[in-house]
Amino acid sequence: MARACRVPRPAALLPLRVAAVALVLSFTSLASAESAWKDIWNSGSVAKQLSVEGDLQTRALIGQREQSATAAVRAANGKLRLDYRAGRRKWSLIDDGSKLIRLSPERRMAFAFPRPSLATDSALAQRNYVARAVGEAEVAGRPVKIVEVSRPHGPIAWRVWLDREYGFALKRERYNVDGRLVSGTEYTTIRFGVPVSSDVFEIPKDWKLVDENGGGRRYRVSDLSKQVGFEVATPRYLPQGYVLQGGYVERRGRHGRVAAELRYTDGLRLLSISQRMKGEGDDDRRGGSRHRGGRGEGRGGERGAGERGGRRGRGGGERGGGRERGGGRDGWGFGPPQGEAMTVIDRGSEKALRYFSKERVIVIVGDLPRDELVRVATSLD
Amino acid sequence: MPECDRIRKQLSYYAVGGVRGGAHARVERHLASCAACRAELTALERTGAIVTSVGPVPAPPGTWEAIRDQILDRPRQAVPRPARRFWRVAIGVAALLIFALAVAFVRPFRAPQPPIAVAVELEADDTDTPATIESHLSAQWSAPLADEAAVGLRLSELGGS
Repeated sequence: MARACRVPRPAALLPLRVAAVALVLSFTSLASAESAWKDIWNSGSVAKQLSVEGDLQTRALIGQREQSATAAVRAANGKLRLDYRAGRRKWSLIDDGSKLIRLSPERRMAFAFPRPSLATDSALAQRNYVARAVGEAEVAGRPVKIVEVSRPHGPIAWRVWLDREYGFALKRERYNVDGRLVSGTEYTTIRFGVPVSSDVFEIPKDWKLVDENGGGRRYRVSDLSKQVGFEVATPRYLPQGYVLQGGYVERRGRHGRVAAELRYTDGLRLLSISQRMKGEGDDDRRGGSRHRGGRGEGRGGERGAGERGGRRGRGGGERGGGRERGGGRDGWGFGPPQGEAMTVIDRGSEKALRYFSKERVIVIVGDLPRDELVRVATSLD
Repeated sequence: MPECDRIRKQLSYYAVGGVRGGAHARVERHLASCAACRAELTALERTGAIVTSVGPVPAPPGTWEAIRDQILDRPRQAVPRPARRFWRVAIGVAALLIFALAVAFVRPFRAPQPPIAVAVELEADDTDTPATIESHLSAQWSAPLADEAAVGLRLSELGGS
């Protein structure tokens, strides 16, 4: 007698069905993430290839204020010109592919600053962030798809509206690590494939060019130390996902003081650590501020006995208290050996931390929580 | 007979004077009427007299040493004594407490926080911070997902060199 074929009951099939659906969903999700990343990288390359004319509105949180402007955009052959207007103020910015040049029509001057070549590490970005397509909309009368980028389980970091036809980013929103919207740009009109004269990317002939900063060449840390003439301190602690991108030489101020700048990236965000040896006049500028409660009065002694008035953050008691709190070279590496306070300036989209060690002036800039910034600073070695 | 069975269970005690009171009277009455139980008692008394007459006999030489050696050679049993178990638990609890205290009190002091002043505006006499922000922003210009227009707006706020 032939054995009867046993047909599984529907209830017994349920786990199999759930597993199959989960498998399909996870593949779909992976494919969707892969597609979103592809759209993002594509938007970067098409922006360099397309010839574009348009108008946009942009806004950015600077300190506690939101600044906004409109700008006429012209782009061709990897070059870009933005002619800004904010109220009665006008200025222009040219990206000629190697430098950023700010045109000041009132002074008929052009200020160039380096446009460092960042090695785009897409693998690093995709390791630290997740991207997903979240919907469709219309910007400047054109259909777009919306892509969001965030740290895994973190708040949104970027939202980008990509033209469905060209892949060009027509709208962008950037959020800081706290999930706060800190800048946004949206095209109001755009035309693709229009001829753009190469003259618009040139500095007008009779204008004065100020180019003090050099070329923004990238160095390894050991070579950077040779270039700047002092041993460059590197942090023992870096926030999760950040890697060294390169070292740069900066010349700043009227005296052309040489600073070493280390730049780190997590693939999308940057962290800059600038350091220079103290020079003449720096001894008068050890922590504190005239604006914030009379640093001048506060310099009561070598270890800063004066009261530090005004806004104070955590731990900001009397100057000189830092030593009792574990300050000094032993505990802090390059941390304030004289018990000097660090100053954190919250600029909205990034924070800057500045302090004076015994020998150096150190500034760290990045979109990081304050404690992370302090941790990086105190790990400099 | 059931009565005989009950009485015979007590006969060995009765023989050495270990049965008293009402039980003693019951045994006396039964013995008076039962010849079999009297014979049993007589046998018991005779055996007792023989054992008493022999007296203590010294053990053969080396017996106690052999017993002692056997006791010492036997491996100890694995069951921990209650006192040892208590101390093990106590030491474990103490170690946990010390660890918890170390985490609670030592950790905050491991990385001392320097005094930090917080500001939102750049200081007029500070040239280093704006210069670093400027180079940071110009690097951001060419970073993936960069919003060039917003970066340009922010650069202009710094004065552009």
